[in-house]
Amino acid sequence: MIAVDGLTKSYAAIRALKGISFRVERGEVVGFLGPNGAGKTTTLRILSGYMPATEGAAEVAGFDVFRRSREVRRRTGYLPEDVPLYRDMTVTDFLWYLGGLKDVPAAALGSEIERVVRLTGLQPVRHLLLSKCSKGYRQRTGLAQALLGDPEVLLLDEPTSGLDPNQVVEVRDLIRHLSGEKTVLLSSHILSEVTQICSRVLIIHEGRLVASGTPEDLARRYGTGTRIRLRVRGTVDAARLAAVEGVARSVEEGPGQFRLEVTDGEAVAPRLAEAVLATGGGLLELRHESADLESIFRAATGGSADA
Amino acid sequence: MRSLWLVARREFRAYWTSPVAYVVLAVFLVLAGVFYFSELSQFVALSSRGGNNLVDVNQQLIRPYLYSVSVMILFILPLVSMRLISEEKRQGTLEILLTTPAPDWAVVIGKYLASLGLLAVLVAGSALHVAILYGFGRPEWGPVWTGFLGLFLTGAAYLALGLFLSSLTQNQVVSAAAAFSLFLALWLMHSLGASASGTLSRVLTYISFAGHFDNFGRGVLDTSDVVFFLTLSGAGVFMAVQSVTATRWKP
Repeated sequence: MIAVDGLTKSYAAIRALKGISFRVERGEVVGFLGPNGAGKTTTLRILSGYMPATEGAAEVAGFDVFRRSREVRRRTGYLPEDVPLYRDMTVTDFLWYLGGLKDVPAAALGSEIERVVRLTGLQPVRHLLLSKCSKGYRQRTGLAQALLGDPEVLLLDEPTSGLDPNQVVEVRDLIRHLSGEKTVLLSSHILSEVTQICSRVLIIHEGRLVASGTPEDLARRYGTGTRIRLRVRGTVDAARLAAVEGVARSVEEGPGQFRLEVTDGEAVAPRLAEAVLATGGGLLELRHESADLESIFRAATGGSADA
Repeated sequence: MRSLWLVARREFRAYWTSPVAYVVLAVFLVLAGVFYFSELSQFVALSSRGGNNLVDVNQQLIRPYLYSVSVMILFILPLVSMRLISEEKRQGTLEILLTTPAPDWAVVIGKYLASLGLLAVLVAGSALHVAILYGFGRPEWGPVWTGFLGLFLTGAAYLALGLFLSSLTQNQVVSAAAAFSLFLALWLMHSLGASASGTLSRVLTYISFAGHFDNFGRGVLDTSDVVFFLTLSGAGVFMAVQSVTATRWKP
């Protein structure tokens, strides 16, 4: 559904994309993960037909995004970063306007707007000026606009940014609900979010694709189980902890606080607990640290050249 | 076609939901009133001195009034054209517009039509003063029609060029300043042409807005003047479309 091949983009002196390639199949929800400035927005802008790539090719819904831009735009719903909207329009007026521009037949537009307003929970603000809407509602209006006309492909640039935790959950549910029938490529810099919504993750760093796979894959390859945080009462010697079988390194981060790099978290944890008790200390906390984006990046960008 | 009208309608409404249209219209009508009043007082003084057979309301009141209005729109229209595309660029809404299936030309021309709509309102407003004259006398219709047609065509050419300038920047102040400088230069070509000689003089006189406008004011409907303004309008709109489409061009 989305096929990207060797995409490069240069802005004057900066190379924002350095040849990335990936595919997204029909019905997949794929997360595009990377720190700010990694090239996520650039890639989505190219796929949406807003701007051309410097080199490389990209196809969306079977059409080349450069040569057949209008065909692509007809089949794509796009939520740009920061959700630019006309502040002087009401939510419904804005959707009428965009629906018209997206060639939704005039006769069907009313019910189509009803549908997206319901899907995105915009009923309470539908007659409010966008300048008077909260950031969360503006974000949802942007999402509603992308859904107008029921496009096959959705390109969503940071769809949950600026939402409060409840709204984040709603939007995630909405996107998850779309999986199977829609092809979705969304960007985010929050790992946990991507793991919850997406069936596959692409990690992009400094314009390159550094890793891709299912969230479980990535976690196994780069993250979880390799680090344990420990909080104890009393005195425990760091060297003593380091001596426990399976601990590669032990760092005392503060009074009674340790960070331990371990080989196999499941096996090491009970042994660590015993060691703490044996020294006469009280075990306050023993926690496996889940992989955060940072550690995955460090792992993915640091060593291997295979990606 | 549908997207063209949608853009035009939204844009025209946007003038009235922001203070732009009201401020522009108020300033314009007040100034037009001042000019009208001063022309009218001179005309009254002239006619009481010279007797009825010597004065011509068309040539001695309406024509100088139209000339003043045509200079005013030179100052006013940059305020109308400045936001057309600059505003969309600054807000980022251009990204939403250009990623809908609506063709680029429809977006640009739609915006241009909206600005022409506001121009029509301004021209109609300035026509009120002239309409009053029909209550007291019988000015000749011909030069009045051609005069207002000329005013509209001049404005349409200004707006098209302003539209293009507005597509080059996301800063409305820059857009307005550039438009104003260009309009003023085009208007003043006439006096430059007068001081030059030979081909240069002919060229400068030809591209002067003042010269072409004056023919309309005298009541002369010359095809070449109409073609002149329409060509410039077309060129401005064409360049604006190219400039917007350029973001899609491969480098």
